[in-house]
Amino acid sequence: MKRRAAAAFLGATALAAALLGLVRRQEGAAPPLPGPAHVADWWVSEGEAVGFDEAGAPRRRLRARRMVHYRDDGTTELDAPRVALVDAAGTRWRAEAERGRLSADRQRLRLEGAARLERLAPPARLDTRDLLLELDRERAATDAEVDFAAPGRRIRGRGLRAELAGAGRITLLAEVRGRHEPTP
Amino acid sequence: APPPIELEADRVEVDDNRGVSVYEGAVVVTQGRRVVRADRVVVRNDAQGPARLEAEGAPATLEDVDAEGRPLRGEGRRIDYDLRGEVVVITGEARLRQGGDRFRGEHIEYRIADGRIRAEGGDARVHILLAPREGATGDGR
Repeated sequence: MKRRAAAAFLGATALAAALLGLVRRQEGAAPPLPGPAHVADWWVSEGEAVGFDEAGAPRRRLRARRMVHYRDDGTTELDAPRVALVDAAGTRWRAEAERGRLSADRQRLRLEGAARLERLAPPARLDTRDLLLELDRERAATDAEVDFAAPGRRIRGRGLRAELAGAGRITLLAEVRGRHEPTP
Repeated sequence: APPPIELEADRVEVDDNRGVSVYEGAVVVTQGRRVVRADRVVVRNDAQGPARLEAEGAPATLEDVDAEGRPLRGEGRRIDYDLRGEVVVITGEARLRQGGDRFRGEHIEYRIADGRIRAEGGDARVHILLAPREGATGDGR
């Protein structure tokens, strides 16, 4: 019995050594590829960026505690971003998160960590994580858990696809639990 | 005000432009002891909350206990439930069993408050099977 245990131990040790060797050999194989360093070219504290439509009317407002822009890929990292989607009637939707990343073309805002999307009228809020906002197309999406609440309704599920035009159309993709009750 | 309704489903689309929430995929609606099962359920909301529920299935089913404590089971291709008026309408090969009594037709209306049932045959006739009541005297008094 002891001899078999010893053999098994030796076998495992040999396997581990072989794997370790493989890993060491891979590390030394390829030097990091040359390319532009991911270096910030400007940053702003408590900044605000406003997006306008062709007629010059403000359509979205992005604020953040800190904005850091990177020359190499054109992205902007955001600390505590808050975005508002605005139309002629005023602010319709607001979104905020712990962190964010704005794409180079300024069309896609990835809200990272805990994120909240709010509609002002009629009131509704949606709590989730890692929410992608397509700003021009006024869409939102995540694969995370979603908690939607509006007066008289509470709906939870996993995965979201939302069209934010008008009062909005929100689809939860799986594991849906809903509760509808008379509004107070 | 009607009691809240709880729903479980595979997916839901909340369209507040039209004031509807459409639940799809193995939908189970629960309201107290009342349970509706269907493939698709539309909940129509207004400013006061949920007003109507429209269930479709093959069949959609309703399970309940009526005002006199009798088990009630209904099924049909569609079940419409007026949440405030507390009236359920079953259509499309509609069937309803209330205690021992059975109803079959194209359109069956069940009033929750008093347990009254009204059935219409549409093109076909209504089929009703009334079970003898326990303890009832011979002349029906």
